[in-house]
Amino acid sequence: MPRSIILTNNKSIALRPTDVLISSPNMLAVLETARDYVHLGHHLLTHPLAGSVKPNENPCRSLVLTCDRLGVDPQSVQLIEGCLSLARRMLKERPLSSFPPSVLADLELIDRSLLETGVESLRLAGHF
Amino acid sequence: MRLSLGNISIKDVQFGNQTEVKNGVLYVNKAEMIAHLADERLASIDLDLARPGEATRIMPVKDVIEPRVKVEGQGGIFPGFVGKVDMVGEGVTHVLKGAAVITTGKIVGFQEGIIDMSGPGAEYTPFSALNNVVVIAHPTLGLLQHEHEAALRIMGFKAATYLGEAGRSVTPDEVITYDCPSLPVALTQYPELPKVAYVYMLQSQGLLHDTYLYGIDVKRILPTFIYPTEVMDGAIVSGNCVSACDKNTTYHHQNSPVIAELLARHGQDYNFIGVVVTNENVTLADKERSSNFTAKLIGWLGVDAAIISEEGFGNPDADLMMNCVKLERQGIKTVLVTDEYAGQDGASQSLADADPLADAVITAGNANEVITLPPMKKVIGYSEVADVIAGGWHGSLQKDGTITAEIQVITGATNELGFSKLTSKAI
Repeated sequence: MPRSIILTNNKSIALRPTDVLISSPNMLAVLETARDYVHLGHHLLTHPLAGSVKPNENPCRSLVLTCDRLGVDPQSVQLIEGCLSLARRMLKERPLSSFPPSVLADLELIDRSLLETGVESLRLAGHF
Repeated sequence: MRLSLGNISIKDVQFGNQTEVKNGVLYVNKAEMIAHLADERLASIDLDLARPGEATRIMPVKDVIEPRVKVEGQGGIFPGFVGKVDMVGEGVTHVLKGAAVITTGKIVGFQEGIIDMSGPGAEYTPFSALNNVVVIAHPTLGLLQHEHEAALRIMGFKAATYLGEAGRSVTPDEVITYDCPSLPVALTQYPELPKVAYVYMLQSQGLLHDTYLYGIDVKRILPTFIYPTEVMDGAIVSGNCVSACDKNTTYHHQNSPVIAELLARHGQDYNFIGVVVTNENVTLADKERSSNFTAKLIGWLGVDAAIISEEGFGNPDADLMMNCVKLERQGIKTVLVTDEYAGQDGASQSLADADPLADAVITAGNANEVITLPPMKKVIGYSEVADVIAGGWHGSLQKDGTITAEIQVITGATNELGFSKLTSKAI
């Protein structure tokens, strides 16, 4: 049984059957889904924001939560609600550009690279 | 640990028959330097020059590096990359002050920055005041982005080392000596002054988000002590391209104004004890571990206060607050150095995280501020990336070459080590 769930809208990521691919080109959908998971008692394992990439600079987003519902975690709630609020504000102020396919592939790569850094660390800790 | 920096003032850069420094002019043998930089991963390498005041735009900028050479003492500049992994930071180092290597290349279709050598944009970047040797490299067909990034990064260090050699036998115009005593000595010096340490946060999360310490990827370290002079010999180098305005280039690390100011006022206003280098992480557990270790090491030093500088925005704001809160709870006063993404009108919340204990914060500026950069006569690199660069948008680049974008597109505009000309104004 996996101990973690990847939530992502990045189609370039190889997912396990229990991970969740969100069919939306909007990273807000990923954060909103994560918010729902957090309120059901899943804990965030990675930070909801990506590296130093702002929410209005990359439509792809991937993050990792615990597979088990461990009870509502105040730190996870605070983080996901804060990041969702920030992302909505930044996307309203300056919406995402429409990217050509080659740039989209690069944006997927950056998101994947940041996720892989997290997965490598979480694997050592027994979450993968 | 004692290091003398011999600054050789460079007033101009020109191509010449021999790479040398003569009467304050850096002459570069173009063919020899290109041959020195050859890398099987790079299909072509070219050089160009960009001087202060010229109508030249460089984009996308990957890194900026200051040419230096180790004249006395162990090791070489950029240990772990160009030199062996010897400990550096002592002896004598010559610096081509006023010159820089700038690397440019399209690793991915977005993110890298702009340096204008004149016009309003030049005011936002310290690199417009330098005599720059720009290295333009194209990857071999099919080269993966990770490999391309590594090739460009190492090429920049080799280029700066090659040019630095030209200063080896030149008598410096100015010599500044820094003394960093051992810890027992440092702790007993200046008992009447407050003891201060520095927490040096480094971006370390993945492709185009990495920093290296003695050649090791910083995401793989636990927070550790370094002497302040080690950074002056290139112990910390940049592999970070996110975002242009608030990433630390290698030049920033070599010339960290936080370290320079702490050393300059050491013994007068405070007793500067040392530096703890730490990382910025993807997972929350790694953030907790690194901030716990940072707090432990700073507490171990027994200091009264610490300066904490961030690199980047958003996710790293969590690391910044964790470091701040864990030090403050030990009774160690903190001052944070960061920048802001407060919206184009500056009215929104500046950071993605906050805490009441973070009550002393220095801002390096609002990265969302909008600027119009007029067209330049010459563009080195690829101007078309302005439409997809971080801080730009579709339509940022106009037909005549004008770029309207947020100042986050400009390399170093809101640098969180404070290496910029932005300041506040009285109303």
